Amino acid sequence: MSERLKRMMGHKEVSVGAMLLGIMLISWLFNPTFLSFENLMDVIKSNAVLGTCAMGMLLIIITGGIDVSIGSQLALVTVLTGQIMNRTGFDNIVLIYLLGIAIGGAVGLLNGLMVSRLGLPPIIATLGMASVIDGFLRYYTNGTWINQLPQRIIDFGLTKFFSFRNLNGSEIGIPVQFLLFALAMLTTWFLIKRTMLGRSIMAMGSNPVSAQRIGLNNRRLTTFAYAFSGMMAGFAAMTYTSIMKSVDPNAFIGYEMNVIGAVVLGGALLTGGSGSVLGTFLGVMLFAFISNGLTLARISTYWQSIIVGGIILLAVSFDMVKLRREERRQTKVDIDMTAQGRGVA
Amino acid sequence: MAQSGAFLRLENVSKTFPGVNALSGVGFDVRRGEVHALIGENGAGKSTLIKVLTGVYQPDPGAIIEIEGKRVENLTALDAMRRGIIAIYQDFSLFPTLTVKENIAFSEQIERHNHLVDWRGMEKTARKALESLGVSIDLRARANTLSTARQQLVAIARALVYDAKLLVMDEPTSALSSGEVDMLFKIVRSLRDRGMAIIFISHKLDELFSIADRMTVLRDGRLIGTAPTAEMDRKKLISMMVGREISDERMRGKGAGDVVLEVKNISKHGNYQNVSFQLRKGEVLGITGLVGAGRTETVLSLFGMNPPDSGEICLEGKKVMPRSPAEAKKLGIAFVPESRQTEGLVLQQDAEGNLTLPVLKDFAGRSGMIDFKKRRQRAQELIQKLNVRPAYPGMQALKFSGGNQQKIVVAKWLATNPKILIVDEPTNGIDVGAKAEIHRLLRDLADSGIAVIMVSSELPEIFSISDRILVMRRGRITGEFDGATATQEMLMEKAVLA
Repeated sequence: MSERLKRMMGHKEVSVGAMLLGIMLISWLFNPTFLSFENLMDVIKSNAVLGTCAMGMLLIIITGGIDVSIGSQLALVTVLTGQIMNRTGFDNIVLIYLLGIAIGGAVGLLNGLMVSRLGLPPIIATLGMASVIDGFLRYYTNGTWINQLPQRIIDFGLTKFFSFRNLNGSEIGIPVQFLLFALAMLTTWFLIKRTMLGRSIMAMGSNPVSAQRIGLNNRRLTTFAYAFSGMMAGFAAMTYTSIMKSVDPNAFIGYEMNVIGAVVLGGALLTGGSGSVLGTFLGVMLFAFISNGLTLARISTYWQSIIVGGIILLAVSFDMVKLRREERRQTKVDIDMTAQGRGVA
Repeated sequence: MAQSGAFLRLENVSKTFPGVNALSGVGFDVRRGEVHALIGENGAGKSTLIKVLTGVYQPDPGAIIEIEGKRVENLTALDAMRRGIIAIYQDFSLFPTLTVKENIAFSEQIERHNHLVDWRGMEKTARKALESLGVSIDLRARANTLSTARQQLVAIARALVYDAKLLVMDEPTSALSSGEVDMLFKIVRSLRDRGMAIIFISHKLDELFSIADRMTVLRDGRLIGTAPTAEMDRKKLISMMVGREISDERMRGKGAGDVVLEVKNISKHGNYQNVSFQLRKGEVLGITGLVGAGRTETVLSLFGMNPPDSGEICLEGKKVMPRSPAEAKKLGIAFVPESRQTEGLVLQQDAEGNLTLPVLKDFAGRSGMIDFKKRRQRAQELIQKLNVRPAYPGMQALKFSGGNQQKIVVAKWLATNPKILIVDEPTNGIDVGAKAEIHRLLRDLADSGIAVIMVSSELPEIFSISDRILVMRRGRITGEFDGATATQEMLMEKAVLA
């Protein structure tokens, strides 16, 4: 039993969850409306995009890689699909979602091929990709918003389930974005936990040499991870449009930091081979509640960026210090063992 | 011994790398149900042989490999694994962040070409494998949270899942305590009794005598002999291991002067214990022993990189205790590391930059700017003194040959005018001609009044220039010999047995 408890405490999810509860408690003390159903649903809805992207990023970080073009992918998908809907009036929700996923997936696939086939360092490959996309979008859109979107997509974005009216007469329910986010999580969870593909990616991230030795195709696994992340970004982009009811080509500048930050807060190690959907969800919520709490406490957005950045740096440093201490402890044990061997012999 | 008959037979196996015959004409067989020890000094060809029989290297044409009596051509690594030849390397090749369960049973899932993970099946397989080893390890623990001994057990269990018929264990006891070694041996014996063939590589002769059924000795890439353990004794084994010809004459110095350095009873937990010796002006002191005997750890402590827990170091009669390489340098101690490429040189810089790096301050004027003319001059002097070829101060360090790179590293430290020069495996990876030149150089430096400490595993090298020889084993000095009269057998006995 104690071993089990120890193992549980060792899990990242427990410490992230505890931190989350702490933040929620503090926010609630500052402003009791924080814990209202309405506010909670609002927070989840406005972070569904972040959360969906984080699921894709999680897979990339498990391979030991990174994708800094996530923000550009979102912008590209929102602009292209927005243009199509705006110009042609095309309003089939399912097809427009599939189109978004396909565009994102194509960009992700390119990223993956650059990393796995050409052997480019992930940060360089995706940085280049981001620059290419950003330049294209600036040329193509001139920074103008797309406002006239089909009514159906706007209605879709406002859909709520199990809704009722509260005393003030406003409608409360579970927003559709929450379900879309849940679907992204469920897919990613199934991939990582239940499929050989996901487990193989996890194994490769943990020890690429051994993975190759037992016959895994590291290149294909890496390519898949980036493509999957691109598809998630495409999916998230559509969710974004459904929330905002318009498209702003500059909405995602610097967004990759939020996504990577949320995944890292959720306990995934940048060295690869670890990370979970639950942890990443908690990381996203932690990220969301910190921002939300700061907003409710009326702290300016500039300060929010500084505080959130600081928390991410702290979390990563904490991991690194812990890792280094563990390593040191392990070598010490090894040396002690040899020393004992010497003593007896 | 349940079954007999050779599981694997090799004949006429050679492996040539550019400039090196790693193996020449080796024949070797492993039987079902035996523990077969593979013995030899560093560089004798053991690891090359293992890589050939696990399919990592392809042998030169003409080699015969037979598995279970059938001849096999072009054995690949995956092939070898599927035929049940599994090697457990010193790093165990585990997936550190995955669970014990997955580490043991994941490969089975891959072989089945499943699309979905069969967690229950994995758990069952993993549990069965651990049970058949008679050990219990939490299946859900992550591998990197286990002790070394337990990680090794996980690696063995994984081999069982592969249906291993031949298990190769490379230095399996090097990180284990004696209790853990006993447990490992129990497991190895039970695997043997179930008919598994086991190749056991170790430097620890006492262990080999207790576990091995037969022994094969390699030396310089050649087979020296295979014999049942019962027909062997330590003396015989040692003479088989060392019998190398020493053709080089022993270079003798002009005689040693005053004591420069006195090391009194220094110890560092887990590194070395009660080490004492003296070093005189003008002598070369050779320190030898097996890898892991604590030689490098000991000399590093003189250079301030691995300070001892207790004991004294006296330099010219004064007590000192360098705490960093910078302090050691100030005291007049220089150190040429074993891996000159990673630790000794800035490869991208030119020879001049490397040569003058430790003394860069000398060329700086009052303004802190470097006087490049003066620097170039000094570099040229050093290049001439050590006969570095080609004599281009402006050439990148990485473009010089191994021997000349080593000369640059030595020259770099000579620029600091050291009293003591420590060299660690000075001719590692250097071709024969350049070796002799490095030896001549070290001898000359000693004759010019510098006290030289040379750490080396190569006995011929030790003999060629040492005035005195220290042998270390398991962190202690086990013998001291006069360089003129010592024999290989005397040294090897102290290195492996004492």
